[in-house]
Amino acid sequence: MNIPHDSAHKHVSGQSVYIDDIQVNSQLLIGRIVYSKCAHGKIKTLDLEAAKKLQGVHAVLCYKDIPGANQMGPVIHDEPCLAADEVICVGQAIVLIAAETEEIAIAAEKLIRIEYEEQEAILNLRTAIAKNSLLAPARTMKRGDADAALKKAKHILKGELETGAQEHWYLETQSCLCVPGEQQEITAYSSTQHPSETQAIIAEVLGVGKNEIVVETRRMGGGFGGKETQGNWAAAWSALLCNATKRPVKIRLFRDDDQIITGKRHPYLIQYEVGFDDVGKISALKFEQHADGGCATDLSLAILERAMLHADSSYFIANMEVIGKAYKTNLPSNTAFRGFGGPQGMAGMESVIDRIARFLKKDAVDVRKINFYGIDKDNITHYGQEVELNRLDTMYEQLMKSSDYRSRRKAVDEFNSKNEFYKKRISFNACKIWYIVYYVVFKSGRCFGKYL
Amino acid sequence: MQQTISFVLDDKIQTLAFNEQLSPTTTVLNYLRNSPVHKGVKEGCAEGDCGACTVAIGELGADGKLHYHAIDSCLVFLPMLNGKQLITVENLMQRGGGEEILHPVQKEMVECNGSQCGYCTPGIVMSIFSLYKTENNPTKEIIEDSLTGNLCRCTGYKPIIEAAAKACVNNGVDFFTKNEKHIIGLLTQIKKDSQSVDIETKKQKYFQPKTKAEALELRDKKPNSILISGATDVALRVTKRHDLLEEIIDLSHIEELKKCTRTDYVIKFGAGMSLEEVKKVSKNELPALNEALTVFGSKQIRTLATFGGNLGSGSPIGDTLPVLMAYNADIKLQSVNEERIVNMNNYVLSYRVTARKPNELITKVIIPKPVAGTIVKFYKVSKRKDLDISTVSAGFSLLIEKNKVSAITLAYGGMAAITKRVAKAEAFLMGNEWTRENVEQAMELIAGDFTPISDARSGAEFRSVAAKNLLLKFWNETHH
Ligand SMILES: Cc1cc2nc3c(=O)[nH]c(=O)nc-3n(C[C@H](O)[C@H](O)[C@H](O)COP(=O)(O)OP(=O)(O)OC[C@H]3O[C@@H](n4cnc5c(N)ncnc54)[C@H](O)[C@@H]3O)c2cc1C
Ligand code: FES
Ligand code: FES
Repeated sequence: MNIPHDSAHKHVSGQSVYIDDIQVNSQLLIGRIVYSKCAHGKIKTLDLEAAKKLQGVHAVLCYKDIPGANQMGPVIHDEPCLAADEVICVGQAIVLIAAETEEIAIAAEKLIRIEYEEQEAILNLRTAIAKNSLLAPARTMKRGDADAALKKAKHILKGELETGAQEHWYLETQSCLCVPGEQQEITAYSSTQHPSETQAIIAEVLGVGKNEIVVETRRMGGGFGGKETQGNWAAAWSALLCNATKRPVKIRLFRDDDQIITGKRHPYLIQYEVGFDDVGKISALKFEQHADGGCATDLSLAILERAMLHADSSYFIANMEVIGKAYKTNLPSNTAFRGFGGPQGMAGMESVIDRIARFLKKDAVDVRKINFYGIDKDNITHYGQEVELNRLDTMYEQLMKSSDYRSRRKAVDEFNSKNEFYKKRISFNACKIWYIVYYVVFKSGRCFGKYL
Repeated sequence: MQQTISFVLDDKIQTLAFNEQLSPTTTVLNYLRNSPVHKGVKEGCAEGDCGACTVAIGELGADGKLHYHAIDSCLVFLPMLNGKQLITVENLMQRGGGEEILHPVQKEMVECNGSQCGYCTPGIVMSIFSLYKTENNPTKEIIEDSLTGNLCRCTGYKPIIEAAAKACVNNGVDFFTKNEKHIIGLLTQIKKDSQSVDIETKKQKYFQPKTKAEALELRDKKPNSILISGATDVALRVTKRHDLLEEIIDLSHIEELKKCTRTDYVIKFGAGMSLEEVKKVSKNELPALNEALTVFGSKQIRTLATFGGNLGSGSPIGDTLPVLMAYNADIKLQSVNEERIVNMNNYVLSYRVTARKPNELITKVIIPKPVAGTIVKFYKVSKRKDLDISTVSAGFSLLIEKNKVSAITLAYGGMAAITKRVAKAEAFLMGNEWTRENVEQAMELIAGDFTPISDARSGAEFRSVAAKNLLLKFWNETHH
């Protein structure tokens, strides 16, 4: 018998209360975000007068109305809360509206006039690379001398892997309800993965002490990284509206707006050069990882580092060099997403192994096996950490047996040779989930491979 | 004529009048969420894609019994509930002696760990509930089909499917069964007094005729009004574009349009039949139509969406169009003083423009039973199998006699502004042998008939390659 989820009874009977389900008094106002339709440009005109006059509208705010700092970057302060004179992506918030109903807020939005002077926009990673539009200096991790080892290698392959963006699609869109308290106090009921940061950002934007702000996160209808930093936005925006009107204000993004406004998983372009011998043992490997960070830093650098730290997947490579670069583009700032860069880093390595196997006409399983981290030797990663309690070989043996891999591989090969149009595939991949250095407090330094 | 509508909710008849505060195009989802006791129902997308808003509808059938269906409440306008029972997740749990007693579906969802963040859960529970009421010991395929309209980003579905399998074992018996008599009594009472609905508020008019004759009269007087049948297309104008729909004729309550009749040669489908119903009816005799509807939207969407609505939009990516062309179907169009038959091949004239005159309604879809030996197939290329719009679709039919192609239709959706046949390829194959060489030559001719577009779903090049390869696939599945 499973141990039931603590809230399961409430979930299944519709009794769990998410942000939009909280009962609020009749003073409640609905918040709406007016965002940029231009990927990069100067704001030429911003006319809010007609919207302010509409009956039922209680606040129409732009960056000038922010009492504290116009800033909500979680690590680097490069993210305006509301665009000032420049917009840097489609979806960037420019104006906030608080109105008595959703219909009135939508009607008010239609009365707002914004004109842009369009500027050249970088809309994909390859353009960003060509323009060297870096968010921060490149990072390097290396061990040994990859260049020298490449020269000595019997075989060399070069290539690249492109991984795409991904929408979080948490079922509950970004939401926050702010309720005013005494004087400057605000209680924010927020669907955030990081309540203490949400508290700090609200306080900064309002220019008040953190002690004035209480953030309550009862439950979240999914986050998957999408509400790790970007949950702050709806919170900061509704807090501004709440502060301006001294009434409760709720923001619950429509799905379409949420998808336009918020960042995705980071797309990567991973370039590699690998040297190996006749059995597929890798002696040298150079990776250059390029990440599309979007229009602001957000968590891009931590995610980049995690991708670099996962570039080895589960393999010991004596001479390895990983260069990581995160680029600024004119897309919504890409952000945390399950795995936080790890999947992209590992995908690069696993695709290198597959290339080698194809080149040598070997089963990739065998190439994986001979490159695994060792127990007593070859057990130091490219960033100098010792791989402890390594059970890779044991798991490999067990899974090869329990999955009956060899005979299934044979059947797949046979099927494929007989069928022109229908193909089957079987694969055996390594995967490392390594809780490491990006937050010292999370450091645990255990390696566990998981085979799928 | 009546100005109000009535339905059963929480075991009581609710009668609603419409006004400035309550628009007739209020969705059932928004109506429920505005009530303090029905916040279990959730909005995840407001466009029929996620199922978080799923509720169940109880309908009194001609057999005098209650039939339960799951639907997306975000796409249903309140008046469409007229005469029905609305069941929400809150109604599934009973309270007694200070205790909360879960429905078997809810109980299994708890025990199998079917919820994580819980946001999709009420919708999932309602989909499984309607499965519980209609199927006993459903196969995995049936379970999955009934969950195609529900997204869950947390669980990976396995525990949910397991919960459904464990729950649906009681022949549908539950406390709703005990209460059925009472509900049937209430619904009969609503029906007994019911007339056609004529709602007028300051900004909107909403008509819900009960007979075809009335509908035709209305349409004749108001040829510019907006017709709705299942509203799965039209509702998006309200939920996504926030349009005000000023004048609506709602065809969802006309029983005559929901009938299916047959002769030895043809099957006649009422234009108001739900696509879920059409799917069932077509299972044995029209397998390609059945296949098209298997991958059409989700079960919730098919339960609402109608044949008339799919043809009404005349969209080049409407999934029934290519398959109806392959079956050489006819459409019956009717106005107050005329009725006429238009063949599918002459029905769509240009992008979303059809042969239907403003005062006409689609009343029937007439499909001839294929000549013995004819093979008809439907293919849909989309980014995922379920709940996706076609990137390219195809309806093909083929008859081979004495080793030669003696009849062939190759109709494509998604390749042009209208659903279109490839005349050159058809002409080339007619009278020729059905060989790979000939088919490959015909594939080259397809390119000449189309200049597909690039859009969010795919690039033009992908569309061209897919269209050609579908023909090869057809050959691969039909040659001997
Ligand atoms: C989530 C989702 C998934 C979908 N998936 C698919 C899919 O897989 N394949 C696909 O083809 N479509 C799909 N659709 C589109 C839509 O559901 C279908 O086109 C459906 O058949 C429309 O039927 P309806 O009865 O709901 O139409 P409505 O919205 O009621 O009407 C659609 C149009 O037809 C007209 N109309 C309706 N009935 C008549 C009539 N009797 N006479 C004349 N005109 C009429 C209306 O005026 C309107 O213009 C999807 C929609 C959604 C929201
Ligand atoms: S809210 Fe997503 S299907 Fe209705
Ligand atoms: S439990 Fe979170 S989406 Fe299903």
